[in-house]
Amino acid sequence: MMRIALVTSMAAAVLLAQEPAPPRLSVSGVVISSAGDPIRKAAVLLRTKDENGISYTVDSDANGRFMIEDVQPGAYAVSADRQGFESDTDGASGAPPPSLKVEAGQSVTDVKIKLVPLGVITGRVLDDDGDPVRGAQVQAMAYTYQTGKRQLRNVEQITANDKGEFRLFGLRPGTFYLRASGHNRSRGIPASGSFTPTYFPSATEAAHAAAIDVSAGAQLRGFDIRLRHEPRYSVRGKRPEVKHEAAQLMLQIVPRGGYDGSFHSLQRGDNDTFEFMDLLPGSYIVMATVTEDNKTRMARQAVEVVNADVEGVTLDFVPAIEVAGSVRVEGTPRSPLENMRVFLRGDIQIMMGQNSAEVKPDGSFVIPDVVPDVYEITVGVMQGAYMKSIKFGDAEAQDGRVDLTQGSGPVTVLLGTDVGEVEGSVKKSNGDPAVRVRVTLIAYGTHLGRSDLSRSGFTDEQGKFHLRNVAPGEYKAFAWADVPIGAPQDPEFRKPFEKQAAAVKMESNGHETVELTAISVKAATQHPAQ
Amino acid sequence: MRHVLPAVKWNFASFVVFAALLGAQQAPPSKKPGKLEGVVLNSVTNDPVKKATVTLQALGQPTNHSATTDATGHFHFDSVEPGKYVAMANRDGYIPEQDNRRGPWGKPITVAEEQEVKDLALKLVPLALISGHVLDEDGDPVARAQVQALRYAYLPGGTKRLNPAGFATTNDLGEYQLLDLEPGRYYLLAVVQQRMGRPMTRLRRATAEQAYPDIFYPSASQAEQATATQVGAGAQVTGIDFRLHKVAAFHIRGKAVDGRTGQPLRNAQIWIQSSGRFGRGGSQIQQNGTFDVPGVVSGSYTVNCQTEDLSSRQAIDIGDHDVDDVVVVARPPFEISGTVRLEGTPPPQEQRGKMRVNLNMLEMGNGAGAEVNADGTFTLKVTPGAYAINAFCDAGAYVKSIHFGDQDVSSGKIDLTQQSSGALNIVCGTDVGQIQGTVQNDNGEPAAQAMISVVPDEERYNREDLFVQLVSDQNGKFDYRDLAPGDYKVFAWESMDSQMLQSAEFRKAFESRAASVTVSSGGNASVQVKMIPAEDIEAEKNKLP
Repeated sequence: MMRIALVTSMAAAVLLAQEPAPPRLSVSGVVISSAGDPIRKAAVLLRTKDENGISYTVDSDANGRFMIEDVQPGAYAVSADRQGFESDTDGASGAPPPSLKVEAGQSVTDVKIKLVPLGVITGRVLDDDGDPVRGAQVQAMAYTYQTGKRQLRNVEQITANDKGEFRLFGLRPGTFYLRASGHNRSRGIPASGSFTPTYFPSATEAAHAAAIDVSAGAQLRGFDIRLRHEPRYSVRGKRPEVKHEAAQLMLQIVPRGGYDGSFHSLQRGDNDTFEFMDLLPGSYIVMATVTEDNKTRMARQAVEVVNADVEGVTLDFVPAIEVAGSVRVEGTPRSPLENMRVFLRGDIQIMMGQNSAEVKPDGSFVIPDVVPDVYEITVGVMQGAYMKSIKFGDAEAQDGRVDLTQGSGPVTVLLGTDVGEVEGSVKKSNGDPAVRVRVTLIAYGTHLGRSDLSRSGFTDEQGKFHLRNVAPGEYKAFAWADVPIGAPQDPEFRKPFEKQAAAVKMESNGHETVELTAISVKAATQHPAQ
Repeated sequence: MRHVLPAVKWNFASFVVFAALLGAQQAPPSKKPGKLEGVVLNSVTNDPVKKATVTLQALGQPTNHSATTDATGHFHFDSVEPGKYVAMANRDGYIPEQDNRRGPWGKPITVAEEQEVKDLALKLVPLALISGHVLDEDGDPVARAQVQALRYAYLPGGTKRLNPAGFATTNDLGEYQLLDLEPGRYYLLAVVQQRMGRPMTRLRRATAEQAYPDIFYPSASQAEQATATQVGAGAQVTGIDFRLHKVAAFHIRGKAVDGRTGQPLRNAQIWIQSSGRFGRGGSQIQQNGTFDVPGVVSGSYTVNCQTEDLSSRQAIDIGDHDVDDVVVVARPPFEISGTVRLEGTPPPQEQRGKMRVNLNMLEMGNGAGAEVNADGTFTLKVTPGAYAINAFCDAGAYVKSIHFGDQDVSSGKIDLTQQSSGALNIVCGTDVGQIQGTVQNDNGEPAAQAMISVVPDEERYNREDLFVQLVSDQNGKFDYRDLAPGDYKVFAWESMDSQMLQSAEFRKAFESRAASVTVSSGGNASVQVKMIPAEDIEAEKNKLP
C-alpha cells in the first residue's frame, strides 16, 4: 500500500514538473483571384526570410483555403503558384511577395493571397487566299524594356494546328501584338509560298500592327491573321579562300538591327561562291570567321537588300585581335572580387556568344578573337565596386567605349571601392507609406548614360528602402507606384517624370537619406501634364 | 551521300516573269526548248495538291526551274531546255521529296527538242498527325506538358534506341498536336517538367513530395510495356490521351568537386538523365559545391555534370527515399595518343588527303576526333565511355587493324570507361580490293538508280568505315575501289532508308537475297545482285518495333 502511494505521488510530481507545451502556431487563409473567386490546387509557399528558418508549402483545397500547421515564429514571404495565374502585385511589376510576420503565441488566420488570371488569345492563320496555314508560328509580342531600349519582343509563342488555328495562353494583362509566320520546317527547305512575318491583322511593319488589350483572365477569340507574301532575295558573294580543308569557316548573315531568331540557309554555290537565300528587303551584315593554323581572321560586310538579289559581295578580312588588359582595384573591396568577367559589347548583336573573358586572379585578362571595332566594355560580378575609369592605352575611354581600330591596348579598367549607400522612405500622394514600390537611382551629371551605375530596389512593408554599393557621383532618385520593368532605364521614358525625382549627391563612402513620393505612371498617361 | 540541290524560291508572279524572260532569250542555236506539264497528287487519296512547289532539276547541271501548282494541282513549264531532268514536288504537310527514301530523286525525265511532255504525275506522301490531351488525376488539364513522339532507330552494331521524331506542348486546356509525322510506328511519352523555383534549403511540405513520372502511352513507365501507335500516311490519330498520376518523388543531393583540385565545383549544373536518356531535371551547384535535385521519381538515372573542361557521369538508383551522399568528381577528358602506320606503298603525293580518327560514343554523348599529323601521330581527348572507332586512311588504303595497347579492337568497339595508358595504333593497308557488279530487277533487266549497300561481316559491324553505299548507274552497274579485304554481303534496294540499313534485324530478313562476296587482298570481286522491291521492304519495315 505504501509503495503504491509513493509511486503515484512521484508520478504527480513528474506531471507538475513538466512545462506546458508551446502553443502550435498555424497560418491559414485563402487563395483568390483578382475577381474574388477562390483558387484551388494552388501551391502556397511561406518562404522564410530568416537565415536558418524553414519554408513551408501546402496546396489550397477545393475552396481555395489552406492551413499550414506548426509554423515557427519568424518572417516570411507569402505567395501562391498555379498554372494559369500570376501574383497580383498591384501594378508594381517585379515587386517581391508580401511579407508576413508570425509572432510567438499568435496564429495567423486571415491571409488572402491574390492571383491574377492569365489571358488567352485564339484565332487562325490564313494565307492570302484565305486558306489555313498549317503549323504556322504565332508569337504574342509586347513592348518591353531591355538594356534601356523599348522594343517589341516575343512574350509567348505557339504553333498553329493543322487547320491553322492557334491558342496563345498564359498572357499577363497588358497590350499585345500578334505576329505570325509560316511553318518552321526544320529541314531547311523553304516551305512552298514563303511568307513574310506578318502582324495582326495583316501588316508587315510593326508600326501598323493592331494592339490587343488583354485584361486579367480575358478569353479573346477570332483574331485571324492574314499572312503576306513578299518576294525574297538572295545575297551571293565569293567564299573566302582557305589554304586547306581543315580550316574552320563560319559564314552567317544577320539583320543589322540584331539577331531576330530567323535562320537564313546558306547554300554553297559553285565552288567558290556562297549564297544566302530567302531574305526580306532590309539591311544585313554578312559575317565570316576563318580559323586556320591557329589564327583567326574575320570579316563584316554590310549588305542592303532592296528589290533584287545582291551579287558579288566581297569579304574583306582583318585578322582577329586579342584584347589584353588588366583590372585594377583602388582601395579594399568589402568582399573579395572573384569570378569577374570582362565583356565587350559591340553595336552589332552577334548571335554566337559575346566577346568576353575571365579576369585572372592577378587582374589580367585576354579576350581572344575580336573583330576590331567600337565596343562598350563592362565588367560583370562586382559586389561593392564600380567601374571608375577605363583607359585604352593612355587615353581615357569615353562612356566606357573603346575603338579597337585606333591604336592598341592595353585596356586598363580601374574599379573603385568607395561605394556608399542611399536610404529613405517613399510616401504615396496621400501621405501613406508606399509599400513594395520600386525605387531607382539613375546616374546623372558626368556619369549620365552609365547604366551600370544605376541601382534599384523595393520599399519594405513600412515604405522604407536601402540601396547599397552606390558609386560616388550625381544621381536622381525615382520612386514608382507602377512601372514596366526596365522602363526607368530609358531616358525617353524618364523625361516627363524628372521633376518628381529627388537629386542625390553621393560622396565617396557616403551615406545619404532621401524622402520620395511615389510616381504613378498610369495616372500620368491618363492625365498627361500640360 | 550528299544530295546537292540549290532550291530557288519563286512565287507565281516572278515565275511568270522568268518564263517570259526565258522565252525572250535566244536559246543556244542547236536546241529548241520543249514543254512539260503535269499534276501533283496526294499519294493516299489521289486528290490534287494545290500550292505545291515543283522543281525541275537538270541532271548534272546546276540549272533548275520552279513552278507552283494551281487550284487543280496542275503545273507547267513552258520553256525547258532539252535534256534529262528530275522533277520533285514539295508542300507543307507532305514528306519533302529530297528526303524521299526512293533512290535518288525519282526517275529521270527526258525532254527532247520541242517535245511536249504531258501528264507527268508527281505523288506527294502526306504527313500524319497525332493529337490528344494530358490530364491529371482529377481530370484537370495539365498545361505545358511535353509530349514526344519516339521511334526506334538503329546504331551500327545493331543496338536500337528510341529517338524523338517530334515534340508538342500542351496548352492551357491540356491539348496537344504532333504535326508532320512520317508514317511509322511511334511511342508517345508525356513529360511534365518541374517548375523550377529558387532552391530552398529547408522546405517542409504538408504532404510528401510528389511528381509526375514520365509516362509512355497509354500508361507505362518503360517503352517495353507501352503500346505503339501505328500511323499511316496522312493519318489523323486523335484521342491519344494521357492521364497522369503523381507518385512519390525524392531528392538527389550531394556535392560536386573539381577532380583536379578537390575544390568544390563552381558555376556548373548537375542534370539527371533517366534510363531512356530523357532529362529529368537538375540543379545549380551552390557556392559550396552542394546540389539538390528535387522531384525525382524512383528509377535508374545517370547524374551528369559538364563544364568547359570537365565532365562526370555516374549511375544512380532511386528507390523509396532521398539519396543524400552523391559525390560528383568532374574530371578533364583524358588523352589517348596513337599512331597511324601505313603498310605497303604509300599513294602518290597528289592523292594524299588528311587522315582522321573519330570516336563516336555508343551511348549518347560527345564524340572525339583528331586529325593525324604528318608523322602519323595523333592525340584524342576522350571523356570516359564506350565508343565506336571511325578512322579514315588515305585514298587507296583501308584500315587494316586497330590495337589499343595490346588489345585488338579491329572490330571497331573500344571501351574507354576507365582511363588507360594504352596507345591506339592503327595500321592502314594499301592492298585494297575492288568490287564491281550489276543489279537486276525481278525481270532480269538491269536496274538503274538502285541503292546498294556493301555490308561487312558481323564481327566488323562497329566499323562504320567499312559500310559502303552506292547507286547503280543507268545500266545497273556499280563499282568501288578502296574496299578493305574481307567478307561482305551486297544488298540492292529499290528504296531505302539509311536508318533501316543499320538494323541488323532488318537486314537478316533479306540476307538470302544478298550476294555474298569475298574481297581478297588487292583482288577484284565481281557480283550480281537482285534488287529487293519496295513492297517487300515496306512489309518488313512494318514488322519492326
